[in-house]
Amino acid sequence: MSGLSKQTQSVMTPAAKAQQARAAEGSETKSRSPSFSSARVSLGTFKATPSQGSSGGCGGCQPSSCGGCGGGSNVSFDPRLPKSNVDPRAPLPTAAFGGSTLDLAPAPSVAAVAALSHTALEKALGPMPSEAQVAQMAPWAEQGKPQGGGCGSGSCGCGGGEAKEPASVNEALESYVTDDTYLGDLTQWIAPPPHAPAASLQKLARREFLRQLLIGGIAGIGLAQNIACKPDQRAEMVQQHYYRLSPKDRKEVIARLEREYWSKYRKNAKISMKPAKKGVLFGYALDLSLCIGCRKCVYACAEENNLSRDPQIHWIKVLQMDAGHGLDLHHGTPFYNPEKVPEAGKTYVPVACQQCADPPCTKICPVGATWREPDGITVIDYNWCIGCRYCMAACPYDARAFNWAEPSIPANQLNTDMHYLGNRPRMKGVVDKCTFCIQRVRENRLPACVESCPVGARKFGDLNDPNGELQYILKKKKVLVLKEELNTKPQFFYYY
Amino acid sequence: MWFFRFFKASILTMLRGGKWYYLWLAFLLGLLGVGCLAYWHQFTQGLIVTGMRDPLSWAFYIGNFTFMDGLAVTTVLLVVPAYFYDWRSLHTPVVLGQLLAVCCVVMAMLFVTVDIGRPDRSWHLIPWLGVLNFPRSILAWDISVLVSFMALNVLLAFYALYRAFLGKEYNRKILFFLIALYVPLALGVQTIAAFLYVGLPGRPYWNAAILVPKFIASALCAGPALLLLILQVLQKTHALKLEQRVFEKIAEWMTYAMAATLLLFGAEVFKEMYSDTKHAIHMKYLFFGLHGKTALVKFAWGSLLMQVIAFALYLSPKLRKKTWAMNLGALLIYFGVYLEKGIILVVPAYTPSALGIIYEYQPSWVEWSVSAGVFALGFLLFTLMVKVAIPVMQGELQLKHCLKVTELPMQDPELQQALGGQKSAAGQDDA
Ligand code: SF4
Ligand code: SF4
Repeated sequence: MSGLSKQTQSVMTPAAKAQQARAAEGSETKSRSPSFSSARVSLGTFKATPSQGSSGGCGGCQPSSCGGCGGGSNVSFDPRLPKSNVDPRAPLPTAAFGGSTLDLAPAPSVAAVAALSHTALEKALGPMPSEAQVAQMAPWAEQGKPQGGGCGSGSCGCGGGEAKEPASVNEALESYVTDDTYLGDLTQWIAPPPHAPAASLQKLARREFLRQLLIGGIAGIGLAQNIACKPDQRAEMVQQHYYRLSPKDRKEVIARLEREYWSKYRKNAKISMKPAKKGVLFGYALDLSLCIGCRKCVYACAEENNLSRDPQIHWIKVLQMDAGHGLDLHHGTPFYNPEKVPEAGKTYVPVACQQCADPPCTKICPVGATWREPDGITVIDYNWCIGCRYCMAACPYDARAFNWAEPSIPANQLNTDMHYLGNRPRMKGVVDKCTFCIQRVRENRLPACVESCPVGARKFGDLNDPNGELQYILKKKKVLVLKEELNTKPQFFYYY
Repeated sequence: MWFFRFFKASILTMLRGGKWYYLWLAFLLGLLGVGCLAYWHQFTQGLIVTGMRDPLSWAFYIGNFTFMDGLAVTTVLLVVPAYFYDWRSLHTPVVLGQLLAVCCVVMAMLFVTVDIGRPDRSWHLIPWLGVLNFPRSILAWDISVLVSFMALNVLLAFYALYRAFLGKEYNRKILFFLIALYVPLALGVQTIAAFLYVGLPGRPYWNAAILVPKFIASALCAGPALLLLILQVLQKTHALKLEQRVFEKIAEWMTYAMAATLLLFGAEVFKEMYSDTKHAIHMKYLFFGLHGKTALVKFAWGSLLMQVIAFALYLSPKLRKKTWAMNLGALLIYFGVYLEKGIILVVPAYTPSALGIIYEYQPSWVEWSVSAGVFALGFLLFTLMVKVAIPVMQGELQLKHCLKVTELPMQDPELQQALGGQKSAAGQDDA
C-alpha cells in the first residue's frame, strides 16, 4: 500500500487543486438548496481537478507512458484528506477506519414522494433560444469532433478512434464492436449485418424509411392527441435503438437533445457518443478497511451524473454493517444518520453497479435497451428503455434505479459534460444506473466517486493494463466480490 | 360467405338486453372510467403514484398479470375430453372458456402495459420495427406465447361459433390440429410465466424450479373455479343449459390440481424452512414478518387457509356435489390463488431487497383503481362475447334466423339442409 501511494503522489497533488477549486466554487456553494448543503461543503471539491481535459491534454495521461490513458490507471488519487474536511473536535481516529472522521452526508430517503415543483426552474428559464443560438448548440455535431480537445497527437491514441466520423453504419459498428463476447447476442438482433454490401445498405435505407413511417403511424395514433407534435417530439418518438442510428442520425439526435436541454436548463450541453477504446477493460477496486461511510461519493455521483434530486435517486448506496457480520447484506442498512462517521462497531460497504462481466440484467431486457459495452461498462439507452423494470428484478445488487417521476435537477447544478449512454438527464419512466462515469472515463478522467473519496478508498483503472493499479491490487491484496456464487463476475472488487 | 351477417347479428345481440344487463354494463363502464382516470393520473405523474419504489420495483400489477396468465389456460382441462372424446355437453363450456381465455390474455397484457414506465414506446417490442430481444429475454418469450395463445383461442372460439351460427358441423380434422397445438401452448404459457421469475438468480425466493409445476397446478385450480362460478351465473342469466355432470367433472379435476398445489407448496416450505439458509428470509418475512414488519402475514395465512379449506371441501366426492360446498370451495380457492399470485408471489421476493432493505409495500389507490379498471374491461369484453356465444352455441341464434326468404342460399346444399323445414322462421331479419 505504501509503495502505491508513493506512486500516486508523484502524479497528482489534488489537495492543492482542491483548494483552488473550492475558492472558485465558493459562491455557487452558498446558492445551493439547503437539503444538499451539508454534503456540498466538500462536494465539487475535486470536480475541477482534472482540468487538463479541457486544456487539450488527455485527462492526466502522461506522454511518456501513454498506455495508461485508457483507464487512467496511472492516475490515482492522493488518499490524504483535505484539511478542512476533518472536524477538529472529532475523537481520535481509529486506524482501521482510515484515520479520520467526517461529517455525514444525509441519508437517501427511501420514498421521496414529494410532488415536483418546477416553478423555481421555470422562473430561472429565459425566453426560447433563437435560431442562431440553436445552431450554436451542437458544437460536436457541427465540427464532427469530440469535445475536450482529445489527444490529437496520434502517438498517444487517446480518443483517436473518434477523431474522424465513421463513414457508414458498418464502419461505425466496427469501431464499436471490439470484442463480440461482450456484446453477446445483442448485435445479432439489433444491428444490420456487419459486412452488408453497398446495395443492401441502400435497401436498408429504404427499409429504414418504411420502418420510420410505420413507427410514426403507430406513435401518432396514441399521442398526437396530447402532444402538440413539434418536430423534435416527433423525432424522439420514432428514434431508433442506439446501435441502429446511422452517423447522420447520431448527429441529429445529439443536436436535438442539446436543444432539449437548452430549453429546459438554459445550459449548453455537450453530448458525446464516444465509443469504447479497443483493448480497455475498466475495473474498480474499493478498500473496505479505509471506507468511513461519509457518503461523499454518493453526492459527488449525484452531481456528476445529473441524478434526480427530487425524487431523490442515488446510484451508490453505502451500507452500514454491524461489525462482525462481514459482508452479510441482511445486516446492512443505507439509512444511518449519526453526527459523525465512522461509528464504533460499524463498518461500511458502498455498493453501486458491479459492472458484471456476465450481467443478468442485460440478457433479460425485452427490447435490448441495456447491454455491456466492449470496455466492460453496462449501459442503457434511455431513449429505448420501455421502463418494464425487469432488469431491476434481475440485478442481484439493487444497482438500478427507476425514474418514478419526472427527474428534477436544479438548472445551475446541471453537469453539461455528458455522454449519451451516461449522465445525460433522463426522462420519467426509464431505468438508470452507474456507468463508471462513462463520460469521464472514456475521456481518460477518473470517476467522480474516486475523486471525491476523502480517504482514497476507491481505485479505478484498466484491468487489461498489466502494470496498472488494478492489476497490482488484484495480485497483492485480498480481493473479493459480492455474491460470488451467482457467477455474475463483477468487475468491481472489494479488498482489505 | 356470411361473416358480415354474423358480425351484424352479434352486434345487434350485444346491444339488446334487459334492465339488469344494461345496469351491469353501466357498472362495468363506470369502473372502467374510474380506471382510465386513475391511469391518466399515473401516466402524467409517473409511476410515483403507485406504492412501488426502487427496493420493490414490481408489485401488484405484475402479480395480477401472472394471475391472469394462469386463468387463461383454464380450458386446457376441458378441450381434450370435449373434442377428442367428443363429449358434446362440454362444447359450450369450452367455447366460453376460450372466450374467457381471450379476455384474460387481454387483461394480462393490459396489466403489463399499465406497469411499464413508457407505454408510448411499446412499439419497441415489435420485431423489425423495434427490437424484440428474442430468444435471450424470457419476457420476449412470454409476449410471443401470449400473443400466439390468444390468437389460437380467438381462432378456435370463432371457428366453433361461426360453424354453429351457420348450423353446420365443425370439421374434426381442422379442430384436432388446432387442439394439438392448444394443449402444449397453454402449458407453455404457464411454464414461461414461471420462467420469468425462475430465471433470476439474484432473487432466491423465485430462483426455484418448483415454481413451474406450482404455477401450472395453481392455475388449474383457480381457472376452473372461476369457470364453475361463471357457468352457474350464466345458467341463471342467459338460460344456459348444462348437465350437472359437467360441474361434477370440473370439480373433480380441480381436486387433483388442489392436491398438487398443496403438495408443491409443502415441498417448498420444507426446503426453505428445514435447510434454513439465508434465503429462507423471504419466506420468514412472508409468514412471520421481519423486524416488526408484518404487512404480508395476514395474506400469507389467509391464502393458505382458504386453499386448505377448499381442498377439504372438495376432497369428499359426496360433499363437492352439493351446490353450496362446490361454490364455497370454488370461491375460496379462487381468492386463495388470487392472493398467492397477486401479492405473495411478487412482494416477498423484494423484501428484503437484494441489499437487505425492507420496504413495506401497500398498493396505492391508483393501483387499486387501475386494476379495477382492467378487470372491468375484461369482464365487459367477456359479457359482450358471452351474450352472443350462448345463443349461438345453443342454436337459438343462427343464420336462418337472420335471413329474409329471398336471401336463402340456393347454391349451398349443406346449408339448405341445415335450414330445412324451418323456412317459416327465416322471414325475420334482425335489421
Ligand atoms: S450490478 Fe446489476 S446493473 Fe450492474 S451489471 Fe450487474 S446485474 Fe447489471
Ligand atoms: S426497464 Fe428498460 S432497460 Fe430494464 S429491462 Fe425494461 S426495457 Fe430493458
